[in-house]
Amino acid sequence: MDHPSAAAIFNKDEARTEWHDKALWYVRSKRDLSAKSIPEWEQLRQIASAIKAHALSNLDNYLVEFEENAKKNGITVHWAQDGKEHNEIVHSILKAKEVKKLVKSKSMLTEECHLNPYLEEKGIEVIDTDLGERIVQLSKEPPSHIVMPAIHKKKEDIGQLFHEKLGTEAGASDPQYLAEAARQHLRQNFLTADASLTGVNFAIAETGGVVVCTNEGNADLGVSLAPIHIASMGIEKLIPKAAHLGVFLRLLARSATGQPITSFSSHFHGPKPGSEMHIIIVDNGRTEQLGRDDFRKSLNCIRCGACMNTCPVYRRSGGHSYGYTVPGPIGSILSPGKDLKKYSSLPFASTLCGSCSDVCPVKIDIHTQLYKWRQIIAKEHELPWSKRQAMKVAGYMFSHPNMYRTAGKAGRAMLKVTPKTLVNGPWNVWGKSRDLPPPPKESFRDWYLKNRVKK
Amino acid sequence: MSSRSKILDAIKKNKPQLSPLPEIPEFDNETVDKVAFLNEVMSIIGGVLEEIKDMDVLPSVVEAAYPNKKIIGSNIENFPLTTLDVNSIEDPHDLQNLDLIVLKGEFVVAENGAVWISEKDLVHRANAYITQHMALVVNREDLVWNMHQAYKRLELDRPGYGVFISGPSKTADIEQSLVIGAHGSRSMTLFLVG
Repeated sequence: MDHPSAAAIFNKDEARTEWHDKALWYVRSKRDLSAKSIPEWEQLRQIASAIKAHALSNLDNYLVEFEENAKKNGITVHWAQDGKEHNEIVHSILKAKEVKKLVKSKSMLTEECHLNPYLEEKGIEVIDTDLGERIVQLSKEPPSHIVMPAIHKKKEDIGQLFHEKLGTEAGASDPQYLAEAARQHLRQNFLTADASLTGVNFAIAETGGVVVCTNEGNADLGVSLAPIHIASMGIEKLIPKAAHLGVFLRLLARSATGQPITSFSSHFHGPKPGSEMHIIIVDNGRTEQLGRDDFRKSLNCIRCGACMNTCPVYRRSGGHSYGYTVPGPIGSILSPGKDLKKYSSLPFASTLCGSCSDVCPVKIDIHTQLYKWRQIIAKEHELPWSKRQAMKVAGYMFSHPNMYRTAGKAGRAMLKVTPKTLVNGPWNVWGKSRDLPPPPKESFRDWYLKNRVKK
Repeated sequence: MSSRSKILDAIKKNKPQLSPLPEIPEFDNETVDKVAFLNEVMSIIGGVLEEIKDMDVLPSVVEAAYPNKKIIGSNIENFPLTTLDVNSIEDPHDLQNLDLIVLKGEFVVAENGAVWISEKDLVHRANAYITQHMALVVNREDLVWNMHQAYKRLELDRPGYGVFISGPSKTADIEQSLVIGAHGSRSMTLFLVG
């Protein structure tokens, strides 16, 4: 399903759409307050962007350095070209130790690789332990946001879900009560898991370790109890030095939720005594994106979600309408590189207002890249028929000034007398929830000729 | 060819020209009252800051802040409130009934309330997460302004583990309502000594 059709379904419930919009704008406002409290904020963004650009320009060497140092720390390093290989590696590690239950903290990469269904098919129980992730897992949905996976759900929905799955009281919807129920339920799983899997926020070449950031402490509780820790990371998570974390940890949580830092920023440089630690380095299309001059910068992304919270389209269409693991503006520049045909509507799910680029902590030119994908999609004939025809007509019109003027005049005259029901007919998508302003008496050109051109 | 070589070859082929690595200024703030700032930050992150004059008063202030806690562990040698010797525990699962952990941290960052603790001070990594409540102890002289200064002074355990802890465990995954005590500590008090 393309984005406009999926968004239309989301928009059917107007009150919920408005609630969703406001919930995300609240997070965006918290981000603003937090960012403004730091005088050097813009300088930090610049430095972060430059560190990422540098790391990408020397990525092969940094990966080798990282691997070497990680091995010295007693970590087993694996490499996976795609999602399938990643999943097979995870399974082989778990199978070797006859793991029956795996606790997982948030990892968009494993969502991208569809790890959970793969492992479940092999008979391994997978428990997502981030509260939001657990909520969407129990309701058999993908996350709708990369930082707040269940942001599309109201507390009453979650109350009902927990009543059915965890046996909480019917009708209960108090967040404190529901979170406590999840705590008890998940603690049992933490205590009985045979292995844990985490994502990676940053991997440090110089030290051969990875950093994982959470507020709940779920990644650490899992890792510090289970005898196996698997950390899955995309190749772009690499930064050269530990000192660079100073920059990124100042930016990440402030951009994501407005917090000064997450509750826990854990630096894993090896297994705990008596345990094993594995890192899986995954490509899955990233090296291809690295080769695209116009889109390479999208690999700077540190997955803060700020572009989603600020996006007027995301806020009013919901994360699921994008149909891709990473929704919102950043997802709309990552997904076409994966499958241009399948995701051809996503770069159009934007007003090109540029707010995403303004809030991005690593200065990805998101709206410029959206525009560039549009041009590629048009060239590759992946535009829908109606849009193609409209573009053709508009192109013809704009290159024939006389015809453009006549059409404008006719349009102004017609609009005055045509009833609204006709103007906002089903063919006028723009008019679905908007009214046209009253037509002006004259065009700008007429006004200019009359008032500004010396006779 | 292995996946490793295929990935590295693809990067070699596709990477752009080498770009320079930027310098990072320290961004120090000499005029700010770091303790006052930290105090404000602690309330934002859901923690509490208590200033105490020396380590001798620690047991009584911890007891006052956390009355009636049964199972208490600590990394402080001969800490009188200790009821569970975490050093004697082998399997971290045996820490599951911990009510309170009292941990001496290396330093704290004023701008975000983050306390750095490395693996050797944690004894068990699980100590910081499995506990119901957490008290952290840091010397006043070990207060730095920001994360750049923090990374200048910290030494990563290699191999090993270290963590910045900023307030208690929390979540806002249900309708953006802040709930303190997601999986780990339900409260966190930072005692600044000296």
